[in-house]
Parts: sequence; structure tokens; C-alpha cells
Amino acid sequence: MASPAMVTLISSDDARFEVTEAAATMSQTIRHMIEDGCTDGGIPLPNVPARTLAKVLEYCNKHAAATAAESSAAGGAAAGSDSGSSSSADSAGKDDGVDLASFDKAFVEVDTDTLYDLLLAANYLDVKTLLDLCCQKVADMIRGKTPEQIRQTFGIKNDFSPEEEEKIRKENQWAFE
Amino acid sequence: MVPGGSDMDCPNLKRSAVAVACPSDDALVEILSRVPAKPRFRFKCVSKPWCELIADRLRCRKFPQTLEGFLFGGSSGDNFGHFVDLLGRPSPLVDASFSFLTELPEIEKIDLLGSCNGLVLLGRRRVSDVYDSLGYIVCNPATQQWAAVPSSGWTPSPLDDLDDERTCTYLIFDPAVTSHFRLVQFKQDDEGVWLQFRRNNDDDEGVAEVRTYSSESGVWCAGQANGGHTDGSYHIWAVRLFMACCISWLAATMKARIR
Repeated sequence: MASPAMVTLISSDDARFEVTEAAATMSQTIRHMIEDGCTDGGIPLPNVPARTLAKVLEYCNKHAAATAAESSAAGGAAAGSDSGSSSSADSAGKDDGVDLASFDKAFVEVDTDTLYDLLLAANYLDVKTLLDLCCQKVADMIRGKTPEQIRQTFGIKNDFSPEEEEKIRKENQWAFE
Repeated sequence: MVPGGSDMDCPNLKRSAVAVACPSDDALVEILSRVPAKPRFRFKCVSKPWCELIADRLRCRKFPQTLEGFLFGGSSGDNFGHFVDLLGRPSPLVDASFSFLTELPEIEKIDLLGSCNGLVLLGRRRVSDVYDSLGYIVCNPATQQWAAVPSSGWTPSPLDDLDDERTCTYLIFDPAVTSHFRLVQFKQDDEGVWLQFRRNNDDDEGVAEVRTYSSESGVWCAGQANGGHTDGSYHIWAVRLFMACCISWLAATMKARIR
């Protein structure tokens, strides 16, 4: 079997990461760069530092491998399965799903700074499932907070006058009950 | 005014021990679209940028649309005035009496004609008139923003079938497609028969005439729908489905067809 195509990614702080094309192209941004033939000497990602890129690639490697395993399991089942796997393709696929879900859950159990770095990187790299995952995590974190707690969390200055804030609060009274 | 207060200027770049950087607007929309409606509306109080972001009509497409309640009429003779809130919120979500319109001196008489994805269509007339002689008003009862639509220019004849008159103009609006709305109007034929565009339309090919108004162009356009092949006929088909099923996802599907 031919070794998989590899690409080199370069973080904002010049760290180089060698990854499979399957993992790298989970990022639509990188996929477009590869399609445009901009891969010579590595793909520069000036918005993503090494620490964050490593984490993103951990996610992409895991998901790309799971996708590959899923399709080969499906292919093996169709061909009569000679892969030597003791479990059936069905249960293997199911296990992968559970595995991936618990991987995702654990993946975003990080400090808030890391979570936002991941979110921004997922946004820039356009890794839809990772962006979904991070946004959902942040949404779950903030949904129970008061406006004041939100301001503290994100360091936002309250630029309403007391009268303006009261007016908005009144207009949306139901949301505070 | 104080250098230390600079965090209000650029919260995105500020990173301190107590606060993390505020996500960019795009990321924030992604996050807020995953927050339930109640905290989301609460977060309007966070700051002006957050308030604008949450209230911004164009970004509404990102937020899940929920059925909030029903408007209905009462003893006053108007066909509006009451609102049933499906979530049972004690303070009214909307001003069901549309006093922000009825109190305006230029508005004499309005009638509720329909609604679509959060906007409401009202017919506008003089008290002495029996049809929407002064055109229409499209408003968002939650924000009380409204837009006047001129009369399409044709008057129903004969004027004896007023129940039908009330049902001849429809609003189509899907914030996921565009922030502009459209009105679709059926025309009576010479005998006063309301033309229906049937899905199995062998009998009435070429008879349904519609006028459409787009808030983008600000003008009414006439269209003859025949045989289901013209742009106008799609409108009618869409309207019929709107009438049959007031379910927003279906409406969104229909808008895709209209385009």
C-alpha cells in the first residue's frame, strides 16, 4: 500500500508540522491552498501559533483516521472482510462513533484561553466540525451567566448608560425571569 | 480619557489574567446561535456591540426561529389586539394592539392580513373604505419597525366579496435568504371570481394574475401566470403552501424555489 500523501504546515512561530493530506484537508482553508498548488516548501498559517496548531491537528488526525477506518470497514464488509478484525464492521463503526464522541468531549475540556484559541483557529482554518464543537462548548459555558458575568468573562466594558440598560432590560424582561 | 480604560476600545485584543479575549463577531454569532433564546436576549444588556449583534436582522438567520405565539382580534371590531404567548411569559412580547401604528395621525384603519417569519402584514385604508385603498404596512411587532407599501393600484370590482378581499395579499419573508420582503397579490377576474392556481391546473391555465411587490425595488410588478412556467406561478404555488402550512422550514424551502 502506498504511503499516504503528506503536507507540511508552518505555524505563526515557524514550527513545522508534517501531517497526512487527509487530516490537513479537514481544514477547508488548507484544502483550497492545496488545490491552488500553494504547498511548495510547506503551507504557512500565519494566524495559528504552534501550541494551537498542534491541538487542532490532534483533532484532525483523530477524525481523519476515524473516517478512514469507517470507509475501510465498510469496504471490507462489502468485499467479504478479510481484514482480520474480530469484530463486525457494524460494531466497529459504532465503537468508533462512541470513541469519537468521548474524544470530542474530552478535547474541549481545556482552560478558557485554550478554548478560544481553538475556536479562533477553527474559524480561520475553517474546520467546520471543530468550530461547531468549540462554539457549543462556549455556548454551554455562558448560557447560565448574567450580563455582568459575561462582561467579566470577556473583559467587556458596559457602554450603556444606566437608563439605556434599564430600557433594554425592560424590553426583554421575560429573559430575566 | 484614562489610558487604563483602553480595554473598552478594543476588547478583542485585551488579554488579562481575569478576562479572556472576546471572540470576534463572526465567532460570537456562531456561539450565540447555540445559546437558547432566553439567555441570548438577556445578553443584549452586555454592551452596545452585543446588543447590535443580537438584534441585527441580517444575523437573525443564524438564530433558531421559534413560534412565539398568535395574534387575534377581539370585541373592538379589529382583527388584532390580543396575543397568546405560547411560552406563557407574563410581560407581553409584542404590542398586540399595534398602538405604535394606530396612534400615528396618518394611519386611519389597519387590518391584520398575515404574517411570515416574524413580520406582520397589515392592510391600510380610510375608515370609509372597504378595501386596502391606502396600501399596506409590513412591520416587525417585536422591534416596532415598520415599512409602508403603496397600494398596488387596482381596485377590486365588484366590491361585494370582502372576505376574499382580505385574503388576496400575502407576505413572503425569509431572513435566511434576504432581509427584503415581498408581497404577492391575487387579482379577481371580471366576474368577481377569485382565481385560484391549482397544482393540477389544466382548467385554469393562463388565468391567474398576480402582482408582486419587492421591498428591494419598492415597486409593484404585474405578472401573468400561465401553465406553471412563469415566475409568478411559483409565487402562487408558494403562497398556497404558505396558506396550507405555516411552518417556517417549509417556507424557507419555498423561498429557495422562488429564487
